[in-house]
Amino acid sequence: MKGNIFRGFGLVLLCTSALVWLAPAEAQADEAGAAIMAELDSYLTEAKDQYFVFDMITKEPGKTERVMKFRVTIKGTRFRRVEFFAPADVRGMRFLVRSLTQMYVYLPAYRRVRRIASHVRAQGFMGSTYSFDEMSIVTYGDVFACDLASQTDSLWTLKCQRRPGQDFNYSQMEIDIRKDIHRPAELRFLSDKGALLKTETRTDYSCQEGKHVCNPKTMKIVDHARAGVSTALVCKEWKLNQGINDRYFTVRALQRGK
Amino acid sequence: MMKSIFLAVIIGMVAAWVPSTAAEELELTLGGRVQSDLHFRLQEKMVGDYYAEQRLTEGVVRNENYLKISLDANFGRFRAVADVDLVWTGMADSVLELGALSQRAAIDPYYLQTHALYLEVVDFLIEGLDLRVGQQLVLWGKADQFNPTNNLNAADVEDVLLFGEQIANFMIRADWVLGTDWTLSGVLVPVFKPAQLPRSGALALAAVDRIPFAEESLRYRVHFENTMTGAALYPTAVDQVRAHLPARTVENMPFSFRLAGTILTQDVAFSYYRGRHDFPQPISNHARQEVFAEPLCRPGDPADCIDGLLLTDVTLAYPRMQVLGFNMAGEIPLDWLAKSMHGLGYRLEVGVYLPERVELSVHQEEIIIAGLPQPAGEYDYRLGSDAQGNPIRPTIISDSPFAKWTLGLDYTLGTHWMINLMWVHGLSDEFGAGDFLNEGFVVRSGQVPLEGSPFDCFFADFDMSDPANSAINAASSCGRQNAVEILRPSLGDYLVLGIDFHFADDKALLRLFSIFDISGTYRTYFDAEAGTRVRKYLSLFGDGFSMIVYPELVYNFGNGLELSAGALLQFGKNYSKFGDPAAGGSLFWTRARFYF
Repeated sequence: MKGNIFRGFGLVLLCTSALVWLAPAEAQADEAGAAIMAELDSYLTEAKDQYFVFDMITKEPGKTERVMKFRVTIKGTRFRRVEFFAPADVRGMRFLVRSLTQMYVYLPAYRRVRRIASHVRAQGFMGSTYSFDEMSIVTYGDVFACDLASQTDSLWTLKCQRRPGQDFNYSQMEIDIRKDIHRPAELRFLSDKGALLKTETRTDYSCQEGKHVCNPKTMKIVDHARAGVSTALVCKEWKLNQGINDRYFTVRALQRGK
Repeated sequence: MMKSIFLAVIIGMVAAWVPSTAAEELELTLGGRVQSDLHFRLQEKMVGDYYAEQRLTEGVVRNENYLKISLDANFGRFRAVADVDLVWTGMADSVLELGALSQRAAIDPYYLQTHALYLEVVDFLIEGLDLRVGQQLVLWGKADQFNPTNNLNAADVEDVLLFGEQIANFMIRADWVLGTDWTLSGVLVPVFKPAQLPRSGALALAAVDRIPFAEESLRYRVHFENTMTGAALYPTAVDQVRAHLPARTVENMPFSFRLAGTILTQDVAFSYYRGRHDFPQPISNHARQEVFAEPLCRPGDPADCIDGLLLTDVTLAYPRMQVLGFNMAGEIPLDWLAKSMHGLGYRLEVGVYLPERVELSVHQEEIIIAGLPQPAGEYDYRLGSDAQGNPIRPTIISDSPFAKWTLGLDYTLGTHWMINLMWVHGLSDEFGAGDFLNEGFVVRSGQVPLEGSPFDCFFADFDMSDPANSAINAASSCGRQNAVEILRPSLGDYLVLGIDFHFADDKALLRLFSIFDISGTYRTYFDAEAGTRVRKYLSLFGDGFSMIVYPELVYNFGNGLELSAGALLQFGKNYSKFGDPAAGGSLFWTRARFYF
C-alpha cells in the first residue's frame, strides 16, 4: 500500500504549483519575455479556491488504457487536498499539502494519516508520463528565465533557461502562450543539449471571471523517451471560489475524509 | 455513571440536530474487496517434552477468504461508517466429532470482524467540535507500525503478517479543532478489550522454564525444584490458562487525551492514556499433582517414563498503566549537503509508561515428591514480609517507569527506491522496566544441567532436624550454583530496515523488510572459580542472533486486481525473540485482492 502513497503523491504536486515559490534568482530574460511570464503567473494565482475532478488516462501502445479519477481542492497558494475515488484499489487515498515541506497522506488500508517528506518528489508517479517536477510547476517566472523567440497572430513562443539554483528536472523549456487568454498551449521540455524529452499540450480552455481564471479541459503529456506513451488529465468538473473553510485542510479533516 | 455518560452523549447528539438545508442530501459510498490468503509454514516448530508437547506442523496454516464491505453514509454534518470483514477460515478442526460433520459451520468455519461501525457528528454543539460514537479505531502515533503511544485499541497479532494491526472497540471520541493547526482530542473506552494473540501463542505455555519472577534467587530455586520434580518422575506442565478481564466498571474504563498540532512546520503531539496493557501477565499459579495409573513413557523408549505431572493452572490479568506520549514528525532539510537533495523524513514517538506493580501468588495442593510431602498452601517465597507481616510475593512487573520509543527515517533514492530505517525500543508485547538504560531482564530459557541426580546436591547438606527450612535452603543453594539461564532485556531494541523498489511503470513493488534484534542476549551461570554467578554476552551474530526477513512482491494489474507473494523468514534459536516457536516459524504466503 505504501507504494501507492508515492505513486499518488504526484497528483498533489500537480495542483501545488503556487507552492513552488522559490527565492528570486538573477534575471536573465529579455523584457518582453519577462513581462509575458509575469502576467501568466499572476493569472495562475488569482483564484481564492478551486475544485476540480480529473480523469487521468495513461495510454501505452498495445495495452489497455489505465484510468484514475480524483478530486482536487485548492485554496490560495498554500492549501491543497487530493482525493482518489477510482479505481477501487486507490479509493479513499487522500493527500493534504499545507506547504512543500508539510504534506500528509491518508492510507485507507492502514486507516491512518502519515506525514510524508519532500523526498517523495524524486519518485515516479503512477506509471504515467508525468513526473513530479513538471506537474508541480505552474508558475514559471521564478524557475525559468524566458526570451520571446517568436510570435504569430495567436501565440507567443518563448525559449526558457532554468534559473541558477533552481531544483527542476529540465534545464530548458519552450512554451507557446495563447494571446487570447494568456495561457500555455504547449510546453516542450528539453535536455541540456537541446534534445526534446517531453511535450505537454493544454487544450479546450474555459474561463470564468473574464480571462482571470482559466483552466484547460485536457492536459496531455507525451514522453518521447517512452515511445508512444502518453498521459492525459481530463478535467470533468471545475468550481471556483466556493468559500472553502481552512478547516478542510487540517490533518483531522484529512483523517475523517470530510 | 456509565448510563449518565451515554445519556449525555445521546442528548447531545439529539441537540446537535438542526434541520438540513434543501441542498443537503444523503451521500452513500459503498466499496470493498475480495481477498484470498494462503500461508504455508516452511518448517515444523515444537516445544515441550513428550508429555506436554506443543507442535506446529509444516504445511498450510492459513487458507482464508475475505469479503470486506465498506459503507460510508453522509447527510450534511452527520455520518455513519461501517467496515466489516466476513472471513471464511477455509480449515475445519483436524478432529471433528461425527455430529459436527453434518454442520456447515464446523466444516466451513467463518467469523466476522468489524473494523468500524460508528456514527459521527461534525460541529457538534459548537463549531469545530466533532463527536464519534461506536466501534472504531483510534490510531495515534506518528511512527510506522511500531507505536508506543497508540494504546486505546488492543493489538491484533493473530496474523503475524499484519504488523501493527489493531482491534476496533466501542469508544466515544471528541475532537476539537483549534484553528487550522491544532486538535484537542479525548476518548473514552467503556469496556476494555484485550489483544488478540497469535494462533501459535499456545506454544509459549509449554515453555515452563521461562519463569517470570524478577527475583533471581527465587528463580534459581524454582528452576532447581522443577528439575528435582522431573527427576522424581513428576515434571511440571501448564494445564489451564485463564485470562481475567477487568470488571466492567467506571474506574476500569480506559481514557486518553491528546493535543496535536504543528510547531515550525514540525508535527507534534502530547498525549496521556490511563488504562491497561492489552497483553496479559500472570498473577497466580495453582499447582496440583496428578498421579498416573500407569507410567507414561516416551514413545519408542519404554525406559523413559514419568509417574505423573505437576500441573499448573495459570491466571492472567491485564496490568494497569498510564502512558505519557510525545510524537514528532517532519523533515530535515538536506539541501545544505547538495542543492538537489530533498528533505529527509523523520518521525519520533516516545511513550513513558507508569505501570502498576504486578505480583504473582503461587499456591499448591499437597504434593509428595520422592517421599517428601509438601503441604497445601501458598508457596514459601522467602522474599520477606511487608509492614503488615504479609509475605512479599514475587514481582512480575515492577512499578518502575519505563520508556518505549520509535525513531524512524525515510528517504527516496532515484525514482525507484525508498528506504525506511527505524530504531524500535520495545515491541507491543514487551512490558516492564529493563533495558540498556536501567537493567532488567526476562528469562528466555532456564535449566539445571547436572551430571548426576539433583538429589545428590539437595541432600548434600540437608538438615533432617528442620526439613522444611532445610529443603528451601538446599533448593536455593543448589539452584544458585547450578541454574543456567538465558536472559534478554525486558524491553528489546530492534533495527528495522525497509526497502521498496518500484518498477514496471510503478505497477510492481518489490519490498524487503527486516527486523534485527540488537537487544543483547546473555547466559548466566555460576562460576565456581569466581565463587559467584556471572553473565556472559552472546554475540548478536552468534548464539544471540535473531532476525526477521520479509521479502514481498506485489503486482497491480489495474482495475482493482492485485496479486502478491512473499515470505516471513524468522531466524534465531528457540530462546530468541524471533526464533521462538511461539512466534510461529517461517512462512511462505500468497495473496490475491480485488477491490470494487
